[in-house]
Amino acid sequence: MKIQNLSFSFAGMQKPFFDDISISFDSKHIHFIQGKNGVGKSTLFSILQGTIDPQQNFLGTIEIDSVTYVSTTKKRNLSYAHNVKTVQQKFDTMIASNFTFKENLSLAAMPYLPKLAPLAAANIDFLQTTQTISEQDLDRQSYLLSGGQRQILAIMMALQKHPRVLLLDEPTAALDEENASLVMQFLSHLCKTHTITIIIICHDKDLVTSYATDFYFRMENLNGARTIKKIQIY
Amino acid sequence: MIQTLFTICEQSLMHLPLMLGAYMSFSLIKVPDLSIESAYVVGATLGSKILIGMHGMPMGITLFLVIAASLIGGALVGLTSSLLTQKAKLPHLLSSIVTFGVFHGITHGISQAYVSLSSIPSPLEIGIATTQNPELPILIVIGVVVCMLVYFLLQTQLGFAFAVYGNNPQFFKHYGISTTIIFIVGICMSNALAGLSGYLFAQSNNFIELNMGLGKALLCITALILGKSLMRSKKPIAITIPIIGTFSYFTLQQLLLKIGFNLKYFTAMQACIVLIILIYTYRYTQRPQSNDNLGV
Repeated sequence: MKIQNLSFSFAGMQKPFFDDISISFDSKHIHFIQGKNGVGKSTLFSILQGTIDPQQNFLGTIEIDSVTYVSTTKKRNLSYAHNVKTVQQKFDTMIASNFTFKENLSLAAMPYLPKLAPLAAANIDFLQTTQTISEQDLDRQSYLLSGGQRQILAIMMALQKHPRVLLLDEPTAALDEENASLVMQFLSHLCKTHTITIIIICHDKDLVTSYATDFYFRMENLNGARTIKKIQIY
Repeated sequence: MIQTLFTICEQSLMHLPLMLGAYMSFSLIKVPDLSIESAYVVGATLGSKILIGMHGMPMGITLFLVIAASLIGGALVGLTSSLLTQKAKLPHLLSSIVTFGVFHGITHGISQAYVSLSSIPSPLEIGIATTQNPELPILIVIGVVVCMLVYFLLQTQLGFAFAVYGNNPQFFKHYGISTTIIFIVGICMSNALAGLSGYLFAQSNNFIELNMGLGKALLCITALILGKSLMRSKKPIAITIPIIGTFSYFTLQQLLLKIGFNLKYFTAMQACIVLIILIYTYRYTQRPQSNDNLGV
C-alpha cells in the first residue's frame, strides 16, 4: 500500500490537516504508526478506512497492488472497501457474543445479502501457526473467551473476505500485558505466513519498540504541520 | 378432557404462525415489534376479502389464495414499519405505533368494523366430514408446514443474521453486509406470519373485528417467556421456544378456565406472569447474556 501526496483539510478550515504526506507499507512487516493523542492518527485512520468523505478536500492517491484509488469511501469505491478492512479499538462491537468462535467466523464471511443457504464453513487457516486458540475455544461462545482471544477473533473475522490491507486501531489498548502479547504473537505469525499489509495505529511507544521490526512510523504535530517520519530500530 | 385437548391444539395452531413471527422479531431481531398487532388485523382482513371475493370457487384454490393474501397483508405492515425504522431512522417502537395508526385507517376504509364470515363456507374445512373440530386437520397441516419453513429459514445465513442483529446490531457494518435488508426482510417475514394467524383466527371464529389485534403482543411475550423458561436452551436460535411457549400458554389458559377462572382477568394475569419472571431474571441472573434468558 502506498499513500502518495496525501493532502486533506476539514471543511471550513483553510489550513490543511495533512499536507503532502507520502508513506509506503509492505506486506513483510507489521507497520506501526505511533504518535501522541491528538496528533492526527485517528484522522489518518478514518481516511484510510474510508469513514471520512474527503470530497474536494482530499488530494493525493492510495495505491494497493498496483491499483490506484483517488477516494477511499465505500460509496465512491467499493473495490477499495473490499481490499481494506479495519479492526476497531472497541473490538467487541465486531463480535456476536452469543455465537461461538467458529460461528462468528462464518457469519463474518456472509455476502452483502445473506442467502437462504447454510453458513459457510469457518476459515481457520490463520490459526495454524499459533497456539493461542484451542480446539475447545473454537466451539465456545465468544463472551466466554479472554479479551486477547476476542481481539484475535475480531482480526480473523476481518480477514474472512481476504482483504489486502488490515488496519488496526490501538489493538492492545484494552488488554493486559499477557493478552497484548498473545495478540502481537498472532499478528507476527500472520505477517510471516500471509501476504497481508498490516498497519497498526497506536500511542504506546513501549509496545511499538517491543514489537516493531526494523522500523516504525512516528507521527508528529509541529505547530499544526503534521509529519510522518520513518524511525529505524537498531 | 379430549375436547379440551382439541381446543388447546386448535387455539395453539391458529396462533403458532403469530408466535413464530414474534419469536423472529421479539427474540431474534430483538425489537419491540408492536406492528404484529396491525399485521394480525390486516392479514385477517385481506384474507377474508379474498375469501368473500372467491365465493363459489374451488376450495383448494380459495385456501391457497386466502393464505397468500393474509401473508401479503401482514408483510405490507412489516414493510411499512421496517422502512420507517431503517429509512426514516425512527425508533422501531415509534414506527410500529405510526404503522398501527396508518393501517387502522386503511383497514377501516376497506372493511367494516365487524364482518361475519359465518355465511361463507370455510376453506379450512376442506375435505373434512363434519366433526366437532373440522378445522383441526388443516390447522395441523398449516402448522407443520409453517414450522418446517421457519425451521429451514433459521438454519440459513438469513436466519442467523436475524439472531446476530438482535445480539449486536452494529455487527454487519464491519463486514460489508446489509443491515437494512436483513432488518426489513426479518420484520416483513415476522409480520407476514402474524397476518396468517390473523386470518386463521378470523376464519375459525367466523368474524373479523377491527380491534382483534389488541393484546396480541402481550400474548406473544407471555408465550415466549413461558417457552424460554421451559426450554432453557443455550443455543441462540431454538424454534422449539415459540412452539412449546404457544402450547403451554393455551394449556394454562384452558386449565384456568377449567378451575373456574374468569377469563376477563387473563390479560392482567399475563402481565403479572411477565412481570414476575422479568423481575426474577434481572434480579437473580448474573450471566452477561441474562437478557436472552427471557426469550424476548
